[in-house]
Amino acid sequence: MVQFVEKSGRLVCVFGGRMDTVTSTEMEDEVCKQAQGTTLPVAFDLEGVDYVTSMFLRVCMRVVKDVGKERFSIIHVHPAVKKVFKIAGFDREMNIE
Amino acid sequence: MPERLELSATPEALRQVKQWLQELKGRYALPDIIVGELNVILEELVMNIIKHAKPTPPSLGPIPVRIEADLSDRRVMVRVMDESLPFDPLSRPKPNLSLDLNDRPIGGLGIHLVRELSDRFQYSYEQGWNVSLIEKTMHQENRE
Repeated sequence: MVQFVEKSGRLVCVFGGRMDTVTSTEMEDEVCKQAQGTTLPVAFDLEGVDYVTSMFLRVCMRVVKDVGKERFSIIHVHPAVKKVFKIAGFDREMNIE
Repeated sequence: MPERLELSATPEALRQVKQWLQELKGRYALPDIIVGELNVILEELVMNIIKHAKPTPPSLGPIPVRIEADLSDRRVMVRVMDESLPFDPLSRPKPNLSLDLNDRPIGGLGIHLVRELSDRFQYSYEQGWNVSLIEKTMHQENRE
């Protein structure tokens, strides 16, 4: 569901599968706890994710507010997920690679 | 004859919606992109019902939910209905996307996603049921 690895000087949260309401709710607190517990930049790796709902957007927002948008990035984004981020206005404010 | 799914407003409904859409995908050869976006739309609407709908007295819940889909090769029309007190999802304020991320509230994007992923989104209250009508057109890029 989500794994945490330190790579290239940042904490990478590697997500896998559908980030639907139930899954996102289950992991929200753990992801935020990991992000709060590091001084490294935080990246969400979404290579294995092709489905997100507003609950996953909520997780992104919480982490951005915890670590600051300068220290947060999202990598390997599937086109369908990128469309949702764009609708949410994340593409202008977040570092999406 | 529309396709129909009967549910109760509980988190289990989300899994049933996903399974139902997979069945429709197989039956109507729907493109992955349409199925994925319909899943987001239905998940957000059902979650909205779970979180905000209030049972019509004397009922105590769970609230009955019915989803009907009318599919053709040019468009998908979906009606999401719940038997509860009137609640218009379109009355929820639109998020201000121009704010700095630090000033934006956490959450409140579900109905915004439904609006933007749909080609039409209408609400009505009919004989004790809230009805959200969603239309998605099969654009050329969606058929591929």
